[in-house]
Amino acid sequence: MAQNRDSILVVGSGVAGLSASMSLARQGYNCILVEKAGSLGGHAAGYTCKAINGKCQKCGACLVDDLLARFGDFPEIQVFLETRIDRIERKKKGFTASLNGKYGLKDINCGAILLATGFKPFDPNEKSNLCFSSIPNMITAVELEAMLRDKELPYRPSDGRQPETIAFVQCVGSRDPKRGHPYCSQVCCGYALRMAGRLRDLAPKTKITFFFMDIQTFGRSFSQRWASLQQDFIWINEIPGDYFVSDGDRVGVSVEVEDEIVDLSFDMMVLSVGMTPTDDQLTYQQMLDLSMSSEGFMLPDEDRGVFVVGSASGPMSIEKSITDAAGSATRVIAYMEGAR
Amino acid sequence: MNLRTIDKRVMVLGDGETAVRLSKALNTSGLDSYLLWAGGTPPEGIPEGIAVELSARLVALQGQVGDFTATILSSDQFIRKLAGSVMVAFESRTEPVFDVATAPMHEGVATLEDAEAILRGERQISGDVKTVVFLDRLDGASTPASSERQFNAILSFLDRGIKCYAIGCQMKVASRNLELLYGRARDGGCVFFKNDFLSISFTQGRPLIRFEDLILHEEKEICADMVILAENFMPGASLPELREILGVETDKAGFMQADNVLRLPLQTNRRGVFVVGPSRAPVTRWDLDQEIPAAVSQVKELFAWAESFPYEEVISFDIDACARCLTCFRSCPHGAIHFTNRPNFLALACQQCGICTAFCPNEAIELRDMEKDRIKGLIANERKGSDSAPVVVFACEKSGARILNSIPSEDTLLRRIRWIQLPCGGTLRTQYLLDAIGNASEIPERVMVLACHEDNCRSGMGTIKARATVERVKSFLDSVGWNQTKIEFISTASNEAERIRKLLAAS
Ligand SMILES: Cc1cc2nc3c(=O)[nH]c(=O)nc-3n(C[C@H](O)[C@H](O)[C@H](O)COP(=O)(O)OP(=O)(O)OC[C@H]3O[C@@H](n4cnc5c(N)ncnc54)[C@H](O)[C@@H]3O)c2cc1C
Ligand code: SF4
Ligand code: SF4
Ligand code: SF4
Ligand code: SF4
Repeated sequence: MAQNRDSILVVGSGVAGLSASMSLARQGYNCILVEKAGSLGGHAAGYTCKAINGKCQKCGACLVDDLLARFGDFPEIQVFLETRIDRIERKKKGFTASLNGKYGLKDINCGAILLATGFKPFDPNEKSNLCFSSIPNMITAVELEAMLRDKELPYRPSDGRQPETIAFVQCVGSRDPKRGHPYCSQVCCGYALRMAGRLRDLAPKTKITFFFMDIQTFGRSFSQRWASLQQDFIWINEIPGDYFVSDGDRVGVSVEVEDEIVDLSFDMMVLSVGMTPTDDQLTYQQMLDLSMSSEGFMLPDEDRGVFVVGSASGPMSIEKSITDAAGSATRVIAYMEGAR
Repeated sequence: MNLRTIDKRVMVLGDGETAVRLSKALNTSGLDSYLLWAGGTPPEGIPEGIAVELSARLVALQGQVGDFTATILSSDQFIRKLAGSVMVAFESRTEPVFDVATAPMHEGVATLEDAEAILRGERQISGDVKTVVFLDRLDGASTPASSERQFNAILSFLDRGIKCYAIGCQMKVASRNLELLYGRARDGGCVFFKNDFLSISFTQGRPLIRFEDLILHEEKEICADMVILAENFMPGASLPELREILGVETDKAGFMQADNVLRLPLQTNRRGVFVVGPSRAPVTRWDLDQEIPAAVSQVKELFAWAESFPYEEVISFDIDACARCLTCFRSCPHGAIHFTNRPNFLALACQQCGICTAFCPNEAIELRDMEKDRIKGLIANERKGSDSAPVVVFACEKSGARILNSIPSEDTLLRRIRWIQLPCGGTLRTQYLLDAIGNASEIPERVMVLACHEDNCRSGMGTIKARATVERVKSFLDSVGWNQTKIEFISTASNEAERIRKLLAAS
């Protein structure tokens, strides 16, 4: 039934790209999925489970494994791994995209394009006061996710020891209009609190401090959980300005406590980095003549067959990316039906 | 392929904008929708072609996706309607936040809903209002959906030249463009304070608010003409009854979707019953804009799946063994058993969790490929291999089995393990565990059950059931003094390979 229709090109195979292509395939459309990395799944495929004491904390990370398992039922979706798109040309009807990658060069025709190219975790080197590259035991939350997934426990990059005191710094690269990030990244309060809970579950003696402005998102159970979360961790309602190496390998910060500047230090520090536009965004904006949203992400051009799904359109969680992908599928189909 | 005949009409239940938008979206995409409208007057903007039943209330829903029969009470008459899917799309109720102000309220205290009515011109403000204070929840647990309303109201008041203050603890901005909306309110002149404690008194008929500004550490006092209380979104009034009728899960607050990521985006535990918008959770405008088209895709995907579902029984039922005790009917988490004078298993509703098979006191139900004798055979056969297998594992296909499958076959760890895949932890029977120990010449050192973490179980209760089964067998073995085999229940997720490897290697 799908033979007479044009294919739909999906760029990026994170939660959003996987969900969108499967939704379209189930509704009878041919999809071509192009992924620049060597495997499917995007960022979430590298995250840890955050369950505590046998209870799921609803982080959504395992949903990507579910999507990948179900993806096996769709052999008709053509997948190009380690492939990028060099050029996209608009035709009278549809587009021609030039793929370049593992399988060589190839031109493909398609009726619509879904950009599911995702986000880039904020690069802490962009904020010089963090001194990220010169403080060995300062890591990003992306690194902590991978550490917990691959090694189960946290360890310090400097000596491989398990940290006894850990500090999380929230909103790194978010809620900062001056640096071009005029948005809350929506996910970092949730992932940081959940990872902190998991760390305490794995190593109950770990003392965890949060530097934060306010706590934005945690999910449905926030109002019931907030009181006990306040007990579990040390909360400092401030984002430190100065970061330095202290006692040889610890991470030090200066904060203002009741009008006095004090230095605090920790075995390890985790930066809760936000979600920022990818480096490829500009290329796509130019190739497809797209504008930028007020938050700095890609805007779609749905009347002309270009759709933007998932975090490529702005910060969003796994949950929202899945909803957005299903919603976009409906709009893409309406476009395809109208264009026929 | 021999396609099943599927009824593709969608019944939408609602009382407001969400249901109207949803019906329209379904209609535009080529599906027939039928609107069960709670109110007595027809909603505005319903195009021809969408049937609307006024003053209608669902009282029963039988059947399965592609073939539901709804019993509806409409203007004192019972009617029957057929549909392929049901979508719950009621609006939420709002409730003012009474952290500090208590009802009955002073005339200088209004709710956000009152304020919106004033802005729409539906209500008059008494007296001259120059200064307004917006109060958010002070416990820090507000939602983006309610701060979105608050910010919009602030902007409208500022537009009218009214001085605005807003006091809250952790005002939520975690939704598309919400931080920008907050920025516009702040740059437009609204002064925001952060606090979790304040007092309100009234002087000369005007509210006086005292609090400490937590950022500047100063005592503050604002004398306003009006205080506007934020509102929480609560589940719509019809949901408690409706959830009983539909047999679907809710979250702790009563919204009609369990706090279980496997129900995302819009699913319930009953296949073909969807929940959209404010019936599901407090949602922002942006959320709703995604959920409505997402619902269209979800139901079309489900219909396509149902059409191609093979005509094979996935459950075998031994009518002679059945005592008609209703246990299976009561324990099925997916509304997949229709009871007449015997249980009837609805193939399209059944999610093959096996919970009914594990609960049936008479072993009258078997899930295909999970027959008792086959499992017994698997345990025995697997053990005939050359290596000894001191560890027997029962693993849920969604979590434990995915991890075991990902271990490369050359890994020596696998040589010590024999494992049996279950479609859900709920399928685990006492007998399987006893067979694993007793049904062979060689006695295992360990029997492990690897099922999903609680709240991450597709069937909601499968993993809880598995844990209970393990505990029961453990205490039984204790009571007979058996100590050669360690029996363990371990919950996990598919992304915990490292943790499970360590646990397995420890034996
Ligand atoms: C540290 C951290 C922890 C997080 N934890 C959670 C959590 O616990 N729960 C949660 O809900 N959310 C979490 N998030 C957010 C989550 O990562 C996103 O919601 C999710 O990854 C969005 O999926 P996506 O498909 O939009 O993007 P991505 O996951 O970024 O996927 C995009 C895909 O597109 C590919 N791609 C990009 N550009 C191109 C190109 N030009 N050509 C071809 N392919 C391309 C990429 O390789 C990638 O595979 C976290 C985020 C961070 C930073
Ligand atoms: S949702 Fe997160 S915490 Fe829950 S089981 Fe999945 S990965 Fe673990
Ligand atoms: S989610 Fe939390 S940490 Fe992330 S930007 Fe928002 S407030 Fe900051
Ligand atoms: S639980 Fe077993 S015995 Fe009871 S009604 Fe169901 S099939 Fe019959
Ligand atoms: S296997 Fe599960 S879903 Fe199917 S009928 Fe039995 S209890 Fe219900």
